[in-house]
Amino acid sequence: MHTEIRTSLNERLADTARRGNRRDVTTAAVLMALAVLYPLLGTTFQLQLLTSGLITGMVAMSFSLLAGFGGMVSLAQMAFYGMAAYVVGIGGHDMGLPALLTVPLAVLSAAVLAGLFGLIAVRSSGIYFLIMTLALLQMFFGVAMQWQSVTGGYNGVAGIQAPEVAGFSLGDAAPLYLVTVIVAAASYLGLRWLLRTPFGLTLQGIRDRPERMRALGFRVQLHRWLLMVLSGVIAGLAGVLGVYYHGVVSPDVAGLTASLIVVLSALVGGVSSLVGGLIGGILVTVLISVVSYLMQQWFGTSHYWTVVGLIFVVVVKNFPNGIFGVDARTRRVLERVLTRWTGAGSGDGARAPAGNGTSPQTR
Amino acid sequence: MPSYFQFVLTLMNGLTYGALLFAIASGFTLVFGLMRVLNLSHGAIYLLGAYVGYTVSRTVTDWVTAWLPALGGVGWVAGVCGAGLAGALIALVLQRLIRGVDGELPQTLLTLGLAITIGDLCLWIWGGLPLTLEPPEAVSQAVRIAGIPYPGYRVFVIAFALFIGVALYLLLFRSQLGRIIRAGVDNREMVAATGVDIDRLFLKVFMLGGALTGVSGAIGGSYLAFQPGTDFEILTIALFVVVIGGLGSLLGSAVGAVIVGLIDSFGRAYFSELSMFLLSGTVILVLAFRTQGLFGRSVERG
Repeated sequence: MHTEIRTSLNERLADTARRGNRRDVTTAAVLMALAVLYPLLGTTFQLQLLTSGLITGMVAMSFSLLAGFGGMVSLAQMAFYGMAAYVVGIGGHDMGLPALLTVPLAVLSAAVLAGLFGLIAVRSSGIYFLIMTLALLQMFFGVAMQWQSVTGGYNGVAGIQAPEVAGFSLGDAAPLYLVTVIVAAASYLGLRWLLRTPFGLTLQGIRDRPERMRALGFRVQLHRWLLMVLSGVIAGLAGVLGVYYHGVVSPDVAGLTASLIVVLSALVGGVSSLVGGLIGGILVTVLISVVSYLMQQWFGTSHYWTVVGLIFVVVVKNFPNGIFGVDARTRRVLERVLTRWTGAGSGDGARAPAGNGTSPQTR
Repeated sequence: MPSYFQFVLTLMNGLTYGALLFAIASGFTLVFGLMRVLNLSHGAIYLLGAYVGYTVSRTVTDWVTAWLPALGGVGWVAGVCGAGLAGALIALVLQRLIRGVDGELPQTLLTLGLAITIGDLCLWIWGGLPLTLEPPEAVSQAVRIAGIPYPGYRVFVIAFALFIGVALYLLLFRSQLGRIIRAGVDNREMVAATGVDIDRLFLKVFMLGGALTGVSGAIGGSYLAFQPGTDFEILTIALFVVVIGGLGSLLGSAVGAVIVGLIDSFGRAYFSELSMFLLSGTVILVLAFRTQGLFGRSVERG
């Protein structure tokens, strides 16, 4: 009986998942081709902008993974990013360890930190989860700031050299860009695959109906915790790329502005979409660059955060589901039309809004 | 006995800081208790209050001393009032913005955007150098506590916090408005159903919290230097206070403020690099055993 319910639930979720499948694959393939060929035409500045955007996008993706697929809105993602960045910085620069050692260690540390944070945070949900993760982010910031003998305090670790891969230095724009594209794409595809497995479908079930899933015998807390660790790994990978991109790491990585960029990217791309996080990251990075340029041109000032903060307010207020996330009502209408056209289409009654502003799409 | 001296001084500093933290955290926790919105621009309002207080206080002091040098302290009082006004004004804007947004999480995220904007505007207007307000002579005479001379202004800060505590207690537990607020904390829908305009109620509480935070900015900024980045620091420490004390509880924020103030003070004095570990460790310890904080009620609610 129990397994029966479980299987039928899984099938239903899998069916929902399959529907968005083909469109996503096409989009991803086109984007990938464009991305890999881009260094042939792009200037160094554009490549750097894209690299930085993709790195932000990966953190946004880890945010969306938690928010859109676990119903957990976490502000701690930049702490995992920072953890990996500090491990690379301290291990590689201060202690002179090879990148082959520091990079896996960095990602592992980010995962461990996410695991520790998760032990505390997954017990709460909704707004309380956000508060816990914010408190944890601030702890990371405070420790990075004060533990000067190890972290370098306010100035952090500077002058971090990027390693060489196949004869190309990651300190150069094009190789780092390509590696970033590959890591981002691999993370995205890996997550996509994972979300299609019974594990991923269970997660979405937990997001939508935690009580029902608990009653069905799923281990809700454990799944939430595993998702948190997974998001730590993704943010950690971004942290490694980020520290090679910037060459420095300071407590600012875990500041409020850094988190604002991540959340903004995820919102712009649509919290319920993983690839949206990557696209959002690029869009927001370009947007910030444009705003910064215009503020300099028009007002002769470097205070572009004033404007970016207001843009953030407008986005949260008017597009809570992001540019790629269609809002629930439009979706319902679209689905009705599609069902009529195709004639078939399975029932949609199983899905209900998560009730926290992230629309429960399966994409 | 320098160690005794240091101990008493550290203790007093901790209590003073705790007193200031209570004033900061009480508005924060009240707004959360009523609307389940965590105001992430709380630290920015503190910083703005400090800056506005600084400018108003200097301007008014310049005017007044030109005519009546004996009334120089009036400038500082005007600065504190200006800071409160600025805080209430920001809270008003924030409440208008939040009203049209659905759900506690997007509402909370929205306040993050405003926090960044206010922080950057402050940097734009007042620059990046650390500043302090100058409190009037009347409250800054040194007093002797346990045989040790101690800055009188810090004793004033403690008195200020006690005053805020008593005033908030009277407001919440002895007035009609307080009854409605407390009822709103327990069950917002039910209060709205009885005909209370919950939007207006929220606006009042929000503006009260904003004014309190702005005033705290000017009061705190009169002995702790403030600069860009202070907003994040204050948000952090206020969050720690309410997380330890229990979100939405006034008593909790009082106890949490004293705990955090003492740990911070002793941590900085005796283990300067590890004071954040100590503070974080306490927060984690409290959360591990009591997710809802020391005086909070069930966390899973709402």
